[in-house]
Amino acid sequence: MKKILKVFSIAALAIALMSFVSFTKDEGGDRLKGIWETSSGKARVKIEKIGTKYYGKIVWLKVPIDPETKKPKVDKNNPDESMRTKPLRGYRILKDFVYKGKSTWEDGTIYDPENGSTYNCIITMKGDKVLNIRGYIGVKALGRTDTWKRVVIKKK
Amino acid sequence: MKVLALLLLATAIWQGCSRPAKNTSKLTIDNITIVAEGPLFEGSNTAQVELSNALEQFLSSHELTMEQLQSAVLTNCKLSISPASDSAEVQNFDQLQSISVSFAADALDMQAAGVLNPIEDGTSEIEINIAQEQEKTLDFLKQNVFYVVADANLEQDLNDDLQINCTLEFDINY
Repeated sequence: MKKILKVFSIAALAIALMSFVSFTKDEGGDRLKGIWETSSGKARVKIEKIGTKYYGKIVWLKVPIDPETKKPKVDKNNPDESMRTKPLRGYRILKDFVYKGKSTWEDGTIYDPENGSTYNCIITMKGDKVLNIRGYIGVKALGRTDTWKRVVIKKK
Repeated sequence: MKVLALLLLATAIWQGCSRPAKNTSKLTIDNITIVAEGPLFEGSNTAQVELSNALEQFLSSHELTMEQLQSAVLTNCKLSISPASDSAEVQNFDQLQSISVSFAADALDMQAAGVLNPIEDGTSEIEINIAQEQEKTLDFLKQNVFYVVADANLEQDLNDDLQINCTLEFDINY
């Protein structure tokens, strides 16, 4: 009887430990949520969660108006012509990121509206306020990293 | 004459070996309410709804299996505002500048469904312009769960929820 109780309590402990690990992993992933400013300061991107993945869309542009058309900027370089009227403000440039632990989100893409290209992308978080966004084609080593900073909005 | 006969024979064999002509049927998913919980802010806000087993009824009514389906195309997306009450802040699309709709799923990359920009004032029902590139539409419908995501650009802050009724129409080829 004692042996059965011992096995049972070890199993219960293991289950509890596994639940804690998966809970903390998910919690860690959600640290990505929030508003981030690109290194150029030209745009701010809001990252949110849909299902189990993370997506980021432009919520603020330093220059929201297209100097040529005098209208709000749209995604004029989208490879799908039918989507070229899509406004840049609200555009999802980060898509489908999965949290892999160790402050790293992978399997996603980043879209560059300036040339209409989509790149593979890895996000790593430094501390709680800095993101390294590495876009690449094919090989991770051949890419470019941009550093984004968390935007803290003061509550009135 | 011999060449012509050979050509005719080749054509007949090719026709015989090719897949049978496709059948196409409409799938309409209505009564979808996409919700963005207030308070909402001027600019882009995300509204979303989870759809599950979208093909279940279609398959049973057409006596088909999932494997028999070849492709799917979103052909129409109608949206209308669903005010929570008569006094709700949003009664029509006047406070929305533009709207984009996408599909998302845990196992698939997000796909654009369509966009309408700008939205004309005084409109209570809109049809968005459908995306031409729809490589994975059937894959989304096959998921147990996928998300319809609407990015709505608001002209001003709102305290209420934003509720949008949505009807999706697909052509299913099998």
